[in-house]
Amino acid sequence: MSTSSSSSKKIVLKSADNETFEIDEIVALESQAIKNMIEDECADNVIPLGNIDSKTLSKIIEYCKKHAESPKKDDNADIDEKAVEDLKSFDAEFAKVDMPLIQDILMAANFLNIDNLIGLMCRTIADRIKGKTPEEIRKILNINKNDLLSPEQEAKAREENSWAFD
Amino acid sequence: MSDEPPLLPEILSRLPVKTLLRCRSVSKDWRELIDSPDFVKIHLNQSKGTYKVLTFLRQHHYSIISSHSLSLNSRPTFVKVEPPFNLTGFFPRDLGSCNGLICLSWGESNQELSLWNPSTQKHKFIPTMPIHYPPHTEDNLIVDTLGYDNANDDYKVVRLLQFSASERGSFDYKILVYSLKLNVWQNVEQDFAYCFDRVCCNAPLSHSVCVHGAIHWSLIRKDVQDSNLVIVAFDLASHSFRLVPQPDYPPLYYILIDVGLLGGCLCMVGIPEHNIDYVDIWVMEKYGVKESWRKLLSISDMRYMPCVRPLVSLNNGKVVLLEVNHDEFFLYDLEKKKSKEISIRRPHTVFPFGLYTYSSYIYQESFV
Repeated sequence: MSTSSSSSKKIVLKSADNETFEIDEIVALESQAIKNMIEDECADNVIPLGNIDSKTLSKIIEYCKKHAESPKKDDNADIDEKAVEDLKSFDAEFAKVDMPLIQDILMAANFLNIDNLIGLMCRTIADRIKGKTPEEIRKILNINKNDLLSPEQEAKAREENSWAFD
Repeated sequence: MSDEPPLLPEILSRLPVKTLLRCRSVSKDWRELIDSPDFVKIHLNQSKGTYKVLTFLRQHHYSIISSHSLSLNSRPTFVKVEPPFNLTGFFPRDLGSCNGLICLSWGESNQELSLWNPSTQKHKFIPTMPIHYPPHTEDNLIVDTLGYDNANDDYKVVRLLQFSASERGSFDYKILVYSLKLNVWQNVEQDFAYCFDRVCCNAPLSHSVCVHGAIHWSLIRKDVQDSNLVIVAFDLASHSFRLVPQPDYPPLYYILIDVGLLGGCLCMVGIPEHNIDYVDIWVMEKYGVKESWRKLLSISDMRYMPCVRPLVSLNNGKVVLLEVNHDEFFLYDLEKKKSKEISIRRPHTVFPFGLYTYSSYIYQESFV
């Protein structure tokens, strides 16, 4: 039985730091993981999300709300171009946060299985390291230095593909 | 605990090859990931649907003069690119491209082949296969095409040799397949009931393309006079031939058909018999389904027997880039039904009377 018929139904999420968020079921359905829980009828009470803090969770809810309200592409063959543009600019604004938060959102979106958000966050990170040098990339992503290539390997890599380092 | 970003393959697969080559120097883990065959596939999948165009300019009977890539900004233009290695001696014949690899021929006899990835700028020569025609044959023709065999995860070049047999007007065939994995050429022993339709010139007037794990040619049945042109597919996994359904049109309506690729779909370019300065382009939206053929465009007032090749669709499919007669490029607007030429600045040359031709390849960025 599908339970998505009543749009006023509420779902309560609880973050790692014990903050609770009450949201419309339709918003929660953006997450494939929560959708599965609702379908399996294990979402009657509060859903605890022990690995997501409240800052990240509120960002995710903001994203899901916007996307749940927007008309879905497959609902209507004549896609409303304005709605698509609107969603695009929302996504662009949404992604203007610092790198640690982006990575937290990505991890949480992966856990909650929200495909569009995973894609958006991956694209955002990719855009930020595009065209950068290896040193800059390490700095942007705060990658530890225990795992570096030996100077010989590094030199060889540059030699092999010198054009890519110009 | 590594402090690497989560879903690293997903992130890196969205990067252009140039940045990825740099990313190999970020850390050992990154290098291992980027070099793995699985990652190559994820990256290829991610770049599906974004096609690039590379075109080589050459003078008739001379090798490549310059190469240009299409820049897809708001106003598409061709930008001259530095060839990554010495292109002297290389001949661009349209030998096809797939998964980011393109196939070029080189050497005096034009029979030697090289696989080249313009994104990573790596290339590999394919071992030469000496061609032995049976004695007393003439009118020989070689058509090589690169394709990808999904079933065996292998790149293959199919070489079709056509030569006129002892009886006048009939043709014989040899079909050879090169496998990149095995690095050998193999003979295909198969009856082949078709031949290229040739109109008094040395080359077939059609291209050959790889779609859906098969090489496609437009051919005629060799035993039936005045028969319809058919689209024949050679399956790269099973090494067998099959016919591909064509759009609905009256028998012998097209005097010439050609196959092409547009956005990953097989297309058919047809010149109607009653109107040979006219061209239709059809797209098969669902491979193998006859009903899915859709007429994309019709252009009139072309040159006599035009050779039109669709290259890429732009602006959400509203505009198609066409290569016309190997020497011009047009952007065709499907809504306004209007075309606009885009030109490439040609080098001042010492051969003022030379005939210039362009050979264009459509490819995706890949790490293959």
